[in-house]
This record gives sequence, structure tokens and C-alpha cells, in this order.
Amino acid sequence: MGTSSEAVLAPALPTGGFRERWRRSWWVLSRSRLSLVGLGLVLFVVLFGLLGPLLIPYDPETGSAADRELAPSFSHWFGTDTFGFDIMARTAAAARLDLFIAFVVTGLALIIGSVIGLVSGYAGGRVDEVLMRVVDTVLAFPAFILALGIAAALGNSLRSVIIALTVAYTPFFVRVVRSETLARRGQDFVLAARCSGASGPRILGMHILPNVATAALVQATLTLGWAILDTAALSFIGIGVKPPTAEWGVMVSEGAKLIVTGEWWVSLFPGLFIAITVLGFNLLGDGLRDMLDPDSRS
Amino acid sequence: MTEDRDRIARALERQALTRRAFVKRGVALGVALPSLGAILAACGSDSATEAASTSTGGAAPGPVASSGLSTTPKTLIPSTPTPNIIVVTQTEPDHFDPHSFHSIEGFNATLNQMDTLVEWQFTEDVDAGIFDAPFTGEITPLLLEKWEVLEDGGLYRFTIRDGIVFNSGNPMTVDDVVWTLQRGVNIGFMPTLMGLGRITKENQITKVDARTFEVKPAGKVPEVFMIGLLNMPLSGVLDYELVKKNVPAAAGTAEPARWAEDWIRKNPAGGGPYSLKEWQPGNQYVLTAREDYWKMPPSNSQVTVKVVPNPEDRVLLLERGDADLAWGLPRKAVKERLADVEGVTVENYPSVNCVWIPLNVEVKPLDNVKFRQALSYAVPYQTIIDEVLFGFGQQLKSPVPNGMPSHDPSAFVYSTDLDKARSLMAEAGVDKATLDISVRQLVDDDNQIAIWLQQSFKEIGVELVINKQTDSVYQSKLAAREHTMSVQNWISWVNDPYYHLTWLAKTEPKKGQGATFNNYSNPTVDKLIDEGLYETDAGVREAKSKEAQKIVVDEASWLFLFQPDYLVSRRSDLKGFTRYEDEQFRYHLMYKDEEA
Amino acid sequence: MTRLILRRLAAVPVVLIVIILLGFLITNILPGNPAELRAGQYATTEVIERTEASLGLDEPWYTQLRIYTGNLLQGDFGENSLTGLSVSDDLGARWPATVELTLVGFLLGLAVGLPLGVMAGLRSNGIWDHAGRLVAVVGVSLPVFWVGLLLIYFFYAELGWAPPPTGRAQIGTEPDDVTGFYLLDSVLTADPAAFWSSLKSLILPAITLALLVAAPVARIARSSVLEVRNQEYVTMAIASGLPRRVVLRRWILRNAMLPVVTMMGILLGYLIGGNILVEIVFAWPGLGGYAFESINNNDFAPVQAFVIVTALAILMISLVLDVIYAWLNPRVRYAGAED
Repeated sequence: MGTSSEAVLAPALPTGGFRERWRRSWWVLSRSRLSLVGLGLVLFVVLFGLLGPLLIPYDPETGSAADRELAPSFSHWFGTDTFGFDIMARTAAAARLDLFIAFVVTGLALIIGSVIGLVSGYAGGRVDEVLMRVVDTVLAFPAFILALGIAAALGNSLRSVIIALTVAYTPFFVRVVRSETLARRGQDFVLAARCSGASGPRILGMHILPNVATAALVQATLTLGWAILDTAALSFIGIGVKPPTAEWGVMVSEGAKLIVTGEWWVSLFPGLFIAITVLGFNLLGDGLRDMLDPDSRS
Repeated sequence: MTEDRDRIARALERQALTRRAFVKRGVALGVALPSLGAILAACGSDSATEAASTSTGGAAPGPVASSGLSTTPKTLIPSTPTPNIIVVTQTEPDHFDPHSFHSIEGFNATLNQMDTLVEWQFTEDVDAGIFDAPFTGEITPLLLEKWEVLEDGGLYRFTIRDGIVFNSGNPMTVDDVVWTLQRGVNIGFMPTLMGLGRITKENQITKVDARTFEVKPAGKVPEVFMIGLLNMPLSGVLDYELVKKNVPAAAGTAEPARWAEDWIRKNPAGGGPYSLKEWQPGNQYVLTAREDYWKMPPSNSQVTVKVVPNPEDRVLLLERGDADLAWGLPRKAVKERLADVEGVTVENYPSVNCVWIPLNVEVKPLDNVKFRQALSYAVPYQTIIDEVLFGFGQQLKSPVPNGMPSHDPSAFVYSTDLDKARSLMAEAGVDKATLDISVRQLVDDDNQIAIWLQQSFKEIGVELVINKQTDSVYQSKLAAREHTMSVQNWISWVNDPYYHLTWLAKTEPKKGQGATFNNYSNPTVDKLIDEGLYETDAGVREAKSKEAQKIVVDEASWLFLFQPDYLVSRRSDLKGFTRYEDEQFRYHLMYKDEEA
Repeated sequence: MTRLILRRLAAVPVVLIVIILLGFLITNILPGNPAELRAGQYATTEVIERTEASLGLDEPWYTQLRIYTGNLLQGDFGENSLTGLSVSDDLGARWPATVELTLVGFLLGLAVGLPLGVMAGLRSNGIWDHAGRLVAVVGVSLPVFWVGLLLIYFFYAELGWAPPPTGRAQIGTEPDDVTGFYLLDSVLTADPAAFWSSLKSLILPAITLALLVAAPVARIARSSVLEVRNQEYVTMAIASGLPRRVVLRRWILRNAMLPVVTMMGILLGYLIGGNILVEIVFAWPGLGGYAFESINNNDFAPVQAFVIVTALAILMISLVLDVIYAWLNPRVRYAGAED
């Protein structure tokens, strides 16, 4: 679908059209009801995470045996778990943590991937060849397995999860940015800049990057969703945070053990929040993609 | 104390008089293991319960089904064997070498296919539908016909039973037994155990004639201890002829090829009630009963052991009757769900299983006795017992558990008293502290205990950081004694305080050699253990053991937690379950009672 | 086309060498000592040292790598340190389980996702479209382990419709071993009971996997059909009065399948990762569960083997897809090569 995105972007001026493009983006976005829903979901989870501590009168990591495994009620909306921890407070704390991880991972992958992609796409030749070979090799492993292996090797910690997921996602950005760069490299405005004597880095930064940014942004939105899912999945099988830190995947896995004895709420709510958040990012990503791809736009 | 002395004296006298081969008041030695990790266990002498039978049932080797059993109108021996029994378990057997030990499942699979020289005597409880083989019971010959204690414990002479045939069809000879024991001096963890019986060299085990061999320990070893060592279920006799046929190097002298480790770990090479029919790694293994089993035909024809890693799934399988017997179920689900299910029987037995937290005395500020005592006052004992054990167990109040001879809870002064803990912190000069506790990520109890401790320690200014670790990281740090804190459990298979304390509280000659996981070292305790280990006077044994217990408790190098009950959940129509205190399943007497 | 395939094949060894090296690297920095694992707990230091020597662990890394690569070329993946079983045998015993589950889940996902996506694309903005898009986007947003748990809870624990989540068939009804694929084996041995039992056990995990497949397939199929439908050549074909069915088959579907095929490749690779979770949740005795177990034990030989086999599988899948792609895409088919 590279062809169709060029169709949208080509008319855009290399500079100066940035704010204009954002205004237009918002307009397209606001026309797509599903993306608005997505944005709403993400904002809801973000606000829930941020305001949680103010609104929920429980500490996510303090419990007591007296409060263990209470069903959802007026005083504990989402119920409590084995340790008497309030699940709503924990879900909110986990929202902060999981979103933090997702943004850090995606941000790192975006930056590293974009730099490599830009260099690779612009330089071409042997540099491109070598970089792509490495990227292909990394991509040969399913991202989750790669992350699992790296996290296991680096030791069980949050840091390992962040590094592992960053390594796993970076190649996707390299790919996207490289192909966009390749498409831009030969275009008139770049040639014009080059003829007027602009240096390589300047051309990359001033002319190519802004054009490539939108595609990378779509990728980033989707990656945020993946990061939430994969962080939860790694935690679900025991890699990541230290107990009793609240994290959605850990909460689901703790709750899984309680389903047989009837405490369904322990795993239900964190699972729902994972789904809502990822759904939000995916709807938003879809909206952004539609914006780039007029043919599939409603 | 005098009572104990009398008992041992009576026992020894009886043996001396009759030369009959049995040991009074069980000593058993073993390797014990808890949940996923494994534990070596220990030796014992006599026990608290005085059931003391004059019954000679155990003494007479022979079919279990005979004699006393046949006179009762109802027995636990079915008229026709049950075609298939389905057992669900956590992991698959890792290997079948009786001399090296990795997991309960490998161990359990091995002991159903391999007879040992001696075994615990068991009794029948028709009403309950089970057999019982308590640690406090007697040890009787199995593959042996008899043993003799010579030179006051300085030499042992063993006679093997005639006419035993291995699963391969080879007859068992004295050469098989000698080779097996000599292998034990060299392989796996066995040297550690044999060393406790003062056997460190192959030439201490010698063949006398076609049916007799001798063991000469380097110094006197009490009979209870020596026979206890032989009762290690892991010392099953290997089929040397079969091994040589498959591994020619086994006939030679080249080390370590002659011990055929690679082959034996993959091939069960012994003789017992079952042979391995098939093994689908990661899925299940099937044991077929030997109809020609020398002791008696097994009560079932086949046992299918299915690997179901998720404990909650095992609960559901048992509940729905898709399995007859299940390993290691979560106590919460047993109590809140299974106990009420019709058709499922849940039984719990007090156990000598110890669960505690070794405090690494080489890590600051855990090197400070006052600080360790402060922590001992901050443990939420009752909460942990309620929330982790769900009532299936008792508090552990000494390094020597309740149920083991000389257990003494009187020195245990600790209770949950945060004020006391704070004042001890002040005395220790520790204002705030951060400690690490290592937990195995797949072991639920570890995680739960850690969180309850964390909640309580927070109150006295101690932050507990919980480090989840994969099994292998956890084990290698444990081997290097690098955990600051960790949750440990242990069943001593020899129900003896000295065997027990040698493993758990004695200074290790080198880190990792033993099970004193916290680098604890106290010369007085070491001396008491050394003196008591081979002591034959029961009164002295008890006194020294109590003295050692008091020191260990006072010095608070453990956080004493609990003794979990042995919890068995089975379908009610599964009869003939045998309760062994090593908490392993022996399948050959199990059958399904269609009338039930 | 032949040239294209040859070129792809030529690149295989290079990627393979990199993968082997990478696998060796990753697994050699795993903490934990395989010799300790193998000697068992409470083994004496001497026993552990001897075990280290027998495993070659006291050799320098380059010697270990040489031994490892040498063995690998003979198809020997080494030993599982815990069980002492040959890793090749372990993999041999487990791969049919994984492949069977993956294929059934994948086909199920395609069967649902493809028609949904095509319908949505053909009638964009209709009810179908909105429903399809919603299903697709919700599908990719659900955590697979959570869905698996919910399915088990409802269909096994509550309703009792599904068999227990304990592997590939109910206890005692497994088919006789021919190929290792239960469904196939029970057909080959004419064992309807085993077939039914295997099918029932397969259904919930396959549905869980299918969810991973259906959503992205539907999504890509929709946008692809939409794009092709608006192309001039399609408008031309319709204008020239060709029957709708013919246009659909010859122009729209054929061209729209190109991105779908690419997506299938990515998905198959992704499934091998997603399998780990599904296999854990459903106690499925396949490669994913094995890898998880080995990583948990830091058992390097099985992890290396798993990494290599997985990467190989993905490589082969992408090769096959390249061929399909070339066959579907006239430009590639006739021109010979295109990247």
C-alpha cells in the first residue's frame, strides 16, 4: 500500500505544512467514529490510571487478611484479591505501569528504529544491505519468543522486559521508515534540496523525516497495543514486575488460580482493561491509517 | 527419656535374641522433597507415638496380602485387578536413575519400578480404605531376607532373598546389589548420604558368597541409622547384567563411564511391581503391572500418569472423575471446592515436613542476632497458617519438627508482636532495612508467604523486596548460598533429629554441601550434632538434641513457619492408597472399588 | 520465477548461520549451570565437576561452539540437561502437537476471517463492514491467555461441554501412533472414538489461536479488497459487462489476495510465539510449552534447538509464501524478479 500513501503525502509541502497536516489529521480522525472511540478509550484508561489514587481510598499494595477475596461491592467496586488488595486500586496502578512501559518501549523502538531506517534507506548500498540482513534475522524470530529469551537471559526484571520488547519491536520501525525513506529519496523536493547544496543529515532531518513521521506514527500507535499485550503476556508467565507490584498480566494470572473457587472478579477486571486499552490503541491506529490511505477511507 | 531408652533397648535386645531382621521404631533415610524443589531427607530414630506393637507382621517377609489380612472378612485386596488407574501430576518424570535426584516425579516413577532392600512396614485400615506406612513404624526386609549387626555396629552382613527376578527377566544376584551400592558411593547426591553412614569407599562393600554381602562402615553406626540409609527409596537395586548388556563400559573400570549414568537415567533398570510401558515426553507415561511380581500381583493392571501442569486443572479433573488421584493440589481449592464434592475424598495427615525461611547470616544486617529476633517477632504466624495452609497444618516451633523424636517447642518464644519487634530493632541499632527474598516463580506458596511477610515487615520499617526467579537461577543461587532469604521445605526421610540437623543446621564443610542454606555456623551446635549422631543412648540423644534446638531457636537464623499436612485428594472409590510419610505414591495396592 | 526462488534459497544459509550464532550467544549468557541441573540437587562438588567435564562445559566457548555446530550438522541438538533425553527426540515427540494445533487454528481463523474481510470490503460502510471491522479490531485486542482462561472456565468448568484442558485427547482415547498427528492417525487407524476425542480436545485451543488469525486476516482482506475494487481495471471490467462473479474471482480476489498472503506469513510466525501461551494455558504438549519449560530451567540445549527450529520453520514458510506470491502476482511471475 506504499503507492496509496504516497498519493496523499506527495502534495504536502516539505516544510511548513506540519501544522496544517495535523489540523487535517484531526479533521479526518474526528470524521471516523471508531477512531474517536479509540481515542476515548485510551483517554479513559489514562485518566483512570492518573486519577485512580485520588478517587480510590485504598493503597494498591496494602491489604489485610480480613479483606481477602471480597466480591465486588459498593466499598470495593472490583472486589479484592487473595491478599485483601483492592482490585480497582491495583487496576489503576497497573494502568500507570503498563502504559508507562508501553510508551517507553514504543518511544525507544520508534527513535532507534527511525534512525536506523533513515540511515539505511538514505544511504543504501552496503550499509543498507548489512542493516537489512540484521533486521531480517531479528524478524525471523517471533517477537514474543525473542522477548522471552532476552528477558530470561537478562534476569527477571522490568528493565529486561523493556529492553527485550524494544529489541523485538525496533525492526518493524526500521522497515516502515526505510521503505518510506526509499520512496521519498528520489522525489522532486528531495532532489531539489540536494541540488541546492543541502547536506545529507539536513535533507534527512528537514525534508525526509517529516514525511516519514506520519507512517512511523501509525506504526507506533499499533506498537503501543502490542507492547501492552506482550508485557501482560510476559508477566502472565512470570517475567517482569516484582510482587506485589500491580500489573495487569500478573493480576490475570493470579486471578486464574482463583476461578475454580469462584472468585472470577480477580482476573476479569485486569483482563478487561488490557482489552480496552489495546482496543483503544488499535482503533486509533486504524483511524490514523485511514487518514493516510484515502482509498479505504469511509 | 527413659522411655525412649527402654524402647531402643528392647528393640536391640529382640534383634540380638532373635537375629530377626527388623528395626524397631523406624529409621528411615531418605531424600525428601517438597513441592517442586527437592529436599534431601534424613534419619530418625524413634518417635512420639507409642504404638508399639508386638505384631510381628512386619518381621515376616512375605506377601502382604497373607496372614492377618486374609482372616478379616473384608480386605483391601480386590478379587480382580482394576484395568487402569489415572493419576494427574505436575511435571513429567525427568529420569530414572535412583542415585541422582531431580524432581519428585522422576523419583516417584522410579520407586514404582524398583524394589529397595528394605521398606517401611505398612498396616491395613479397611474402614478408611487405605494402607498406612508411618515413619514411626518398623522397617522390614524387602529384597533382603535378613540382616545381621556384627561388631556392635561396626560391620553389617546382609542376605538377599532368593528367586527375585528383575523386570528384564534376569535373576537378582548379590553382584547386582554390591554394584548398586558401590555406584552409590560415586554418583549423584548419594555420596553425601552414604557418607552419613560412614561409607565413602567402594571396598567397604564386599561380596561374601552367592547370597551374602557385607558393609563395613568406618566406625560404628547404630543399626537404626544404617538400615534407615538402606531404606532410602532411591537406593533401588539395579539390574547390573542388563546395564552391562547395554553399556559395555559398565563392565570396565573407566570412570565415570562404568556407572552408565546416561543409559540408566533413561532406562528404568530394576525390578518392581511395574514396568514402563510408554513415555510420551510432556504428555504422559504408562506403567504396566507385572503379573509375576514376586510379592503379590498388583491390584491394578496399569497406571497412567498424565502431566497436567496447571494445579487448578487437576482439581477439576479429579472433581469430574476424569482422574482417580491427583498430586499437589492447591489447598484453597481443596478446602473450598473439592472437600464438598461427592465422590471425592480429601484426607490430611500431620507431617514432619518443615517450611521455614533461612536468614542468610552473611548478609547485613541479618548478621545481627537482635535484628533476626526482631524479624521473628514480626512474622504474621497465624495469618500465614490461615491464608497459605487453609488450616491444613501446624506451626513449626523448632528446627526439629513436631513428630520427630526429641522435638522441643518450649524454647520457641516468638509470637507476632510488632512492639517487641520494634524494640529489638532499636536494640540491634537498625532503624530501617531492605531485604531480598527469593521466590520460585512457579511455586505459589513461596509467593504468598513472601507477600504476607512483606505486609507485616512494612510495619516495623523493613522493606522486603520479592525476587521471582526461574528454577535454575534459584537453584544455582541456593547452591552458592546466595539467597538473602528464601522459602525452604524439607521432609527428613530418616525421622531422626541428628540426621535432620546434620543437613539443616550444621556448619557446611563447603558452601552447598549440606542444606544449611543460610551459612549458619555455630561450633556448639556442630559439636552437639556430631556427638549425638552415632550415640546409642536415647537419653543423651534427646538431651543433646534439645540443647541444639534451643540454640538454633534463640539465634533466630530461621523464620519458623509451619508444618503443612500431607494432603491427599482422591476419588472415593479409589481404595488401597498407601500413605507413606515421604509423601510419595506407591501404586501397586490401589484399585477401584466398583461397589463404592 | 525460478531465479527468484534460487536467489531466496541462496540467502538461506547466511541467515541460518546468523541464527545459529545468535542462538548460541543468547543461550550461553543464560544464568544457571546445566551441570548442576544434571547432577541433581545435593550432589557433591566432585560429581558436579565431573558432570561439567562430561558435558564439555569446562572447554572454552569456541570449542563448545565447534562441538555444538558439529553435532548440529549431524542433526544432534544435544541433551536436555534435566531429563538427559535427546533434544531431537523431544522435539520429534512434540512438534506434531504444535503443528496440528497451529494448522487447525490457522485454517479455522482463515475460514472465519477471510470471508468476513472480503464481504466487508465489497460492501464497505454497510452493516457487514462495521460488524466485520469491529470484530477484527476487538479480536486483535484480546489477550490470548485471558481468552483461553475464559473459554476453559465457561465451556469446561461451568457448562461441561468441552473436555478437560489436559492435552491432545482425553485420557485413554489417544490414537495409535503413526504420524504423531492425532486427527490424521485416528483416520489412518480407523478409530472414530480417538478422532472425536482428539477433535474435542483440539477445539478450544484452536479457537483461541483462530482468534489471533481471523482478526488481522479480516482486516487486511477488507482493506485490500476495498483498494482493488476501486482500481480502474476493475471498473473497466464491470463496465465492459462481465458478470459480477467473474469480476470478483478473476480481478478482485486474485489481486486482493497478495497482501493477505504476506499477512499469512507474518501470522504463521506470530502463531509460533502465540502458541507458547495457548500451550501453557491448555497444557498442550507441544514445542511452546517445552520452550517455556526449558527457559524456566535455563536449559540451554533445548532453548537453542527451539530457536533454530522456529527460525527454520519461519524461513520455510516465508519461502513457500514467496512462491505463492509469485504465482499470484503476474508481474513477478513474468518478469522474473522483483523485490
